[in-house]
Order: sequence, then structure tokens, then C-alpha cells
Amino acid sequence: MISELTRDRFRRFKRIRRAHYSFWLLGIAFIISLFSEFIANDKPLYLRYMGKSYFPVLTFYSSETFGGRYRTEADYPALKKNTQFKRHGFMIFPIIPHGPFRSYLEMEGSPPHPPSQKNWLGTDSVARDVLTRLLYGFRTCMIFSLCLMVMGAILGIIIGGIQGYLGGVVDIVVQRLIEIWSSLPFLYLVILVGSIYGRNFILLLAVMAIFQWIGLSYYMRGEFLRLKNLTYVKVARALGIGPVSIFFRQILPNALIPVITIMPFSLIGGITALTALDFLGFGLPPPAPSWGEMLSQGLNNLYAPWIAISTVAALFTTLLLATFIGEGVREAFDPKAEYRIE
Amino acid sequence: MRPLIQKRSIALNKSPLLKVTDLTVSFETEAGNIEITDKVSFEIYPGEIYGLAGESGCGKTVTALALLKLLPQPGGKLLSGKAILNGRDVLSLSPSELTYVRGKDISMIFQEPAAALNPLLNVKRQLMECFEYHEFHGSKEERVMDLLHHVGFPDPQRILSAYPHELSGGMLQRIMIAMALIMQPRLIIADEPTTALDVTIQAQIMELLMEMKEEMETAVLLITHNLSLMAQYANRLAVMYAGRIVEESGIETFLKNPLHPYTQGLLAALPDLNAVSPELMAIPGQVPQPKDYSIGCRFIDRCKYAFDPCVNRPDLVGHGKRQRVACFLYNKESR
Repeated sequence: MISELTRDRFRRFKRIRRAHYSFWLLGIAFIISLFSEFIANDKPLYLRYMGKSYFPVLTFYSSETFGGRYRTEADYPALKKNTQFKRHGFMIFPIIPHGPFRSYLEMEGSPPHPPSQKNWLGTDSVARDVLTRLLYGFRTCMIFSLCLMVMGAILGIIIGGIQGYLGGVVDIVVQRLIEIWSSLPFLYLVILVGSIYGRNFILLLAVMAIFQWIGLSYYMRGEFLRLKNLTYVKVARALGIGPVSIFFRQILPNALIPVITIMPFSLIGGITALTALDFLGFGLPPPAPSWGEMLSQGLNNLYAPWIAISTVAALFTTLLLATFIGEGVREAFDPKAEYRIE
Repeated sequence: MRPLIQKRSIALNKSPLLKVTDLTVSFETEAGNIEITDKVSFEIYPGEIYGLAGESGCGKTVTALALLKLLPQPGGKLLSGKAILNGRDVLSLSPSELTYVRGKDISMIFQEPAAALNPLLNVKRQLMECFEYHEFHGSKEERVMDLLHHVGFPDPQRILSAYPHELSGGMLQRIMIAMALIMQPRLIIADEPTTALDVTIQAQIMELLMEMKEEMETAVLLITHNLSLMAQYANRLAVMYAGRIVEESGIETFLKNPLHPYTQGLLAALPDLNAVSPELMAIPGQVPQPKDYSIGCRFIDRCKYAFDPCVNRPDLVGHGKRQRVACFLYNKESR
């Protein structure tokens, strides 16, 4: 059930070509990145050995399986060159045959290696493939930002909504608490929590989410304050509809426009925040592939410009696309757009 | 069309359905707390149409909203008053008990049908929502279809899947009436149900309301500033002026023998199509602003009969059998 107005907004969004294409581009890139293991990996997609099929990307096989000596995971690139193996089988690698954690320290010269046939965007200071790291880093930061965006939206809607819906003393008290809360130094909190509980994805997400919602809650509070006095909300109350139903069914769907318009920008905020934290070294723990960590490597290895250039280009493109989307969404949901004189 | 005056007095010897006493509502403003209604008292009997008439801003709607505890927030505050329904004071119920009374015992029809339905939900969802909060035996779907058919939709199925913007004002108001009737309430508060509609639709809606009222034996509290609507449909009515009821009587008495100078002025101000002179009569002066409300009679500045006792508060006292009036002209003892 999509109302005419919503359909009209979608149509308007489609007409803003830049935003529309950006949306598809970023969306497809994200979906592709979800399957990074099948695109860039040092484990083969398919392996045939002694007449049997193996799928090393999906499962663990010990070195013993393929005639090795150890029970640890097989080293497939090494295995590929093994003459013993060549006689009994073959393997198919993904397009980019490098894992995100694999260092090619055995390669000629000292890392970082410049771009070559083997490493299209070169390697970083510990000889890991830059392109692979970029791809995995993109996935990490998109998932992180999307989670952050959703958590921020949920918290913002609930807290701002309750403030606006109840109004009065609750509103004023919560508003003051939010002011105190928002004046907490975010970076110190991240550093503190990170040093006490250790740095990990979930914790970092949680710490950032408890600050992320504040901006949205202001909008939601305003919308709820405005909408709760509309006639149809009064009608619902006069007919004995309970407060939970009124909150979620009568008011919330009508108050979602600010949420939708803010979402792409909150995504951008998430990406930049994570990159900045990683750059400073307070974000995700190494060796997690992350753009911030790559940027700091780029800075430390200015004589190896391929690291910095490719990371900056990737970051720039992502942010640009997200900005275009945000701009388009804002335009499409602008109630005044129809009346604008052009 | 109904005859203008019809024998419409109903038996008042039954006990009242709703007994409102001393309802005082105040609003917080920058100029301090202002009492918008001042000790409003009235009784509504089962099956009757009780009219509440008065100019804009006299406190009609606030009275109605106060009965359902729907006063605009922040600002609206119930200072005193009781509204006894079924032997319980509706005004002192807890929020959860109130949810049960709203819609089930008392429901309300609002002024602007176009704004009264949620633009993002279709008719079906909005009608069915009531069932989630009230007990109902029998087929819900059937009940809704039946009601829609009753309020004049030959094809209820089509209406159910429609969104409010696809319907006209008259259609929306009929849906509102159906919505208010779902749980067979014993009292419907109709706050200017026809103001936003054109005259032909107005008549249709009122006829429908009357029909429904008779079928379901509900009482109606009809709030309007339209005196001809009152004359056509109400059994009894109260006239409000500046936050107080100034006169209450049966409709025939009201039209033939108004007592309060304000009521007399109101009736005299109605244009008469048969009159030779086309001149419009008007009551001189202005309605006082709520912040200027005085303790004494609030009509004092505009009343040609005003005399010394009028600076005191006139009580609403009985005059004859079925009439009450708040005026010192008739209230000799309390001068």
C-alpha cells in the first residue's frame, strides 16, 4: 500500500537523474562489496584435487587435505605453485587473488610496492594489496554507517517522539538532559571506552549511536508537537484509541519525512566519523581493513602516493554519491517543490 | 426537509444519561490563567438531541472537548466540574479507563471532515482501529460494511480501500459518523458537524445523524452556531455566552418565548424572508474578550435592560417547568 503522494515522491526522485544514478551506483557497489570474499580473496573459489571438488572460500580445509604436512589452513597461493599439487588438481581464484590480511613480504623490493600487474593499486606498508583492502574497507564502513544510521533513527524517533507526544514537564526535562548529554566530549569517550573494554566493531557502534540520535530527536520532537494537535489525532483519541497506536500509527508515519531526508546525510556522517577515528587510531582495531587506517598509512608513506591517492579517491567518490542521494531525497520530499517558480 | 417546529419534546422523567455540573476550564496564557467556561451545568437525557448554541469563542467546543478530556495541550486545564455518566464521573477517570469510555460510551464527530482522517491510512484501517481497543462480539468486517451502507455508500468495499484525499467532504463526514457509531455509543458529541459542508450536504448529514440516532437510541450533543439547524433538529438547547450558559429551554419555548435579552437579540437578528424591511437587526456592541470576563453578567454592556444587580453573578435558575435562565430580570430573589 503506497499512497499517491509517496509514489509521486519516488517519481520526483527518479527525475533527479544525478541522485537516481548515484543511488543505484552506491547501492550496487555496496551489494557487490557484501560478496567481497568471492571477488578478492587469497582462497580459490573452486579447487579440484584428486578427483574431488572443494570450495575453500566457504569452508576450512587443512593443509593435510591437499598433501601438505600441517593441520593449519592450506596456503593456497603456495599450493598453486606446488608441482605435486599441479599433477593432481587445479584451482580457480577470484578476480583479485589477494586476501585482505595477506602480506606479500616475499615479493621483490621493500613494501609498499608500486602498482603492478599483480597488485593493481600497489601494496601498503606491510605489503598487503591496496585494492583488496579498499574493497573490504568499503564494506566495513558502509555496514558500520548503515547500522549507525538505523540505530540513530530508532533512538531519535523514540526519544524525540516521546518528548513531543507527552510535552510539558517530560519535554523540558528530557531536553535539558539531552543538552547535558550532547556536551560530553565524544572523542574522549571513544578513547576511554576503547581503552577499558578494548576496541571492537560493536562497542564503537554503540558508543557512536548514543550520540548520533540527538540531531534527529530535535526534528522528531517538533513534528510530534505539531502533529499531536491535528484533528485526526484528536479523532483517534476521541474514539478511544490507545496512546501506543496513536504514537506509531497515527503520528509516526506522518512524521517520517525528516527521518528520510536526514538519513543519507547521517550515512555520510557515519562514514566520515569512522574514517576519522580509524585515521587517529581510535577506531577499529588493526588489522581490520579500514579507510582511515589506509589514509594514515598514505600520510606516513608519502613517497608511495598510490596508497593515499586511491584511498582518497574512493572516499571522495563514496561521499559524493551519498551527498547526491541526500540532495535528491531532500528535493523529492520537499513539500514546497511543486509550488516553486522555475 | 423537516418542518421548522415540530412537536419534539421528549419525556424528561427518565434519569439523565449525562449530568454535567460546574464545568470550569481554564487556559494558561501570557496574561495568566483565563477561565474559558464558567460553571457550565446541563443534563442530557437518553435519546434526545441537546443543542449547545453560541457565538464563536463562547466555550462550546471547549465544553465538549473537556467532556472527553481532550483539551488542547499544553494550556487547557480542567479546574472543576463533574460529568456523571453511568454513575461514574468521566472527568476523574484514569487514562486507561478513559480509553474505554471514549468511543464506547461517548464518541465525537469533529468540525473539519477533511482533517479528521489520517491522510496516510486508508478508510478500512481507520475504521477497524476502534476494534483493537474495545470489546466487540460478532463480525467486525460485517459491522463496518453494514455501517458504511447505512451512512449511504452503496459500494462500501470501494470506500474501504480509499484514502482520505480521494473522497469529498460529505463522504468524509459520513465516514466520520460511521466511525463514531461503530461501538454504538450512548452519547455522540457532534461539534459543528456540518459547518465545513455546503447546504445540500449539510441537510443530508443532519438527516443521517437523526436517522442513526433513532436507530441506535443514542443521545446527541449538537454543538453549532447555526440557529436554524438547532430549530430543525434539537429537542432542547442551551445558549452560551462568554463562557456561561445564559438560557436553557425546549426548542419550542426557545423560539416562541426567549427570556434572556441575549437570546431575544439572537432571534431578532435572524433575517426574516417575509419581512417588508430588508434591514438586518444586530445586537449592539462586541462580545467581551476572555481576558476581560467579569464576575457579573457578561452581557451587561450590550443589554438594554441592564440595571444595578447585573454586576453580580447571575445564577442559572429555573423559570417555569422546562426553562432555565441566568438573568436578574427573572431572578428576583437573588438580586
